[in-house]
Formats: sequence, structure tokens, C-alpha cells
Amino acid sequence: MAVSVTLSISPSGTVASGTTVTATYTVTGNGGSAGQTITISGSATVGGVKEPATAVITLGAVAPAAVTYAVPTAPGLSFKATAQPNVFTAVAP
Amino acid sequence: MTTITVSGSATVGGTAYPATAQVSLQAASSAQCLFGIWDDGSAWPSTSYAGVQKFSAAPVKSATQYLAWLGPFPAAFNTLCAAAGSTMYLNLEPWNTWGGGASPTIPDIAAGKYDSYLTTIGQAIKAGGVTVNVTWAHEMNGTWYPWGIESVTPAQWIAGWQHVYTTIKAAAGSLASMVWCPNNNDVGPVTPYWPGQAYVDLAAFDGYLNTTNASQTFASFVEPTVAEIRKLTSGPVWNAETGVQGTNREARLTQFAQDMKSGGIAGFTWFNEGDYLLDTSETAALCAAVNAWNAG
Repeated sequence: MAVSVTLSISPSGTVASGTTVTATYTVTGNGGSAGQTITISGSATVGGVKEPATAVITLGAVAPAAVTYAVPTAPGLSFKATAQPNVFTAVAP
Repeated sequence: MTTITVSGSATVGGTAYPATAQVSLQAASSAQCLFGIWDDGSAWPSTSYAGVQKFSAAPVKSATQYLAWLGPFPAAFNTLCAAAGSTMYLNLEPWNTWGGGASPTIPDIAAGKYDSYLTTIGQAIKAGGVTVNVTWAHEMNGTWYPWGIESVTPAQWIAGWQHVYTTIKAAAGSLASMVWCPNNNDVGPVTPYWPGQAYVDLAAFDGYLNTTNASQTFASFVEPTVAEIRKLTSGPVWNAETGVQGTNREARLTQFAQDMKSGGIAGFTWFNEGDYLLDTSETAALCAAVNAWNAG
């Protein structure tokens, strides 16, 4: 699944002066993958006789990629970080 | 109304992914007054909204609660505010005025001695499910509080503020909006107490017309504070606690509200107690002034 990033704003509707505006990033497609064992199958034909063969390998788990979030920008809004790395707040002028 | 685009990006495994969203903001010329009330009827144990309700002829957006140190979070009042469409403005005061324990020192707060209490406050804010505006050790450039200029240096105050900011917001998430609030700078400059924009969600000040002298106006007495704050931040500036001295003051408070709007102030909280307690006619005049503000 491809990585995608969305930015959502709350509250919805027209924001009154002095209201806290919250910007939240959501990242999808960055779940990584669990380790897995796979079987590779093949065959060799020897003297017209097909001889199947298999091998087993183990693929290691892939951790989700590290994510960092840029402070959102917008004219008239000064966003600041919060305790949640993907959440930023600003006060509507 | 102005619709603006918020732009950002997340970097995943070294690859940047841009993202945008739109937000609609009220146009500055039609911005509604962040109108708040402190009424003595709201005092702890704060289970009544009746004092604030006296001003219901105008849309009240904020209701103040003063909370002494180690006092319980006023959850009931917070719920009342949410039901009424206002936001609680929680004024945390680092002193013991209710017998709940010894008064803290600012350095002890900065050092983390009271983190469990601050975390409890933040958790209660989060549990309430609505935004709470919070200030701490306000009017620190004055002389009348134990956290004022006679006892606490600006550096000590800033260290305390930054720690309180970080600790409460860690527990409250996006629901705690920290309001930096010095006193009007006639008592002393506010700049030494600026903790940096990263530690301020809303800049405010407490600015009264505290004499009956008619020559004391927004321009002469309050605007210099606003000008000083505007050198520190480009964000909204709120008069978080105000009043006008005198009697039969309908005209004076109306003018004051008009001047605050013209001066670009985000709004004001009326301190409805003592010398600033309004009678029925004055209450009506204040509400009319707020409604005129909101009409654009």
C-alpha cells in the first residue's frame, strides 16, 4: 500500500477569532510488514525428466518508516507543536 | 470570512509528502468579541452559572474561574460553560487561600515538585472534552501577589510558566489553551516575562480603567500595554480582566469597548465584582456595546 499523508483541520465551519485551530496529520500505508517464510519452487529437467526442487527463505520484518511532521503554515496562523507529534495548534486571529 | 490554505508535510522514511487543508476564518473586521465575565456568583464551589447569565443579552464566550493552588478542577463549572456555549478561563493561582496546603514557591513549581497536581489539572481538562483557557500566576509584573516582582524574578517566573505550560498540555493535549497574562504595564514592563511564542497560545493582559478620571482612556492608559505586547507576538491580544471605575458609567464603558475594538483587541472579560460591579443599566450598556462590536 502506498504511503499517503493527509492534513485535517478542526473545528469545522467558520472559525471565530480567538478559537484554537487544530491541525492533525494522518499517515497511511506506513504499517511496515511482518516477517514471513516463503517457499521458492522450481524445477530442472534432466534427460527429459522434470525434477522439481524447492527452497525456503525467511524474509525479515520491516518496521514502519520513521515519520516526522513539519509545522503547518498558513497566512495569519502561527502553529505550534503539541505533546502529540502529529498535532499542531494555532489561535485564530 | 476568509478561507485560507494550511500547508504542511510529513516525512516518511526520508521522503516528504506534502499535505494541505483549508480553514475558514472570520474576517478581522467582523471578528466577534471574545467577551468574558467574572462574577462573584461563580466563586468556588462553582456550581452556578447565574452570575454569568446576567450578561446573557450579549454572547458570553468566556467565564472565569480563579483556582487557588492544589484546588480541585472546577469540572461542574466547565460543564456549565460548555452547555452555555462559553469557554472556561481557568486562572491558576500559586498560593494557598483556601487551606488546602502550603503555598508553593515558583522555583519549586519549575522544578517539578507539583507535577502530579498539574497533571491532574491537565487530565481533568482532557476529560471534560472541551477547550479550557488556562493562565497561571497572572499579573506577575505587579506587586500584589506573592509571585509578583517583589518576590520572583522574571527568569524564575518564566521557568515556572514554561514548566506549567509543558506539564498541563502534556496531559490535556489540544484542549488546554495557555493564556499568558501580565498586568497593564503602568505597574511595570511585560516584556521581561515573555516566555517565547512557543509557550503562549493566547497573549492577554489585565487592563482596567481603574480611576474615575475621565482623561484615563484606552489610548492613554491601556494602549501602551497593547503596543508592548505587539512587539512580542503577532497573534490576537485579549484583555482578560477589565472594568471601568465610577458610577453612571454607561457612556465611559461603551467608549472603552469601542476603543478596544478599534485598537484591535480580541475581546475582554468584565470583572463584575467590587468597584467594577455593574448595576442593571450598566449591565445593559455593556451588553449593547458587545453586540455593537459583534455587528461589525
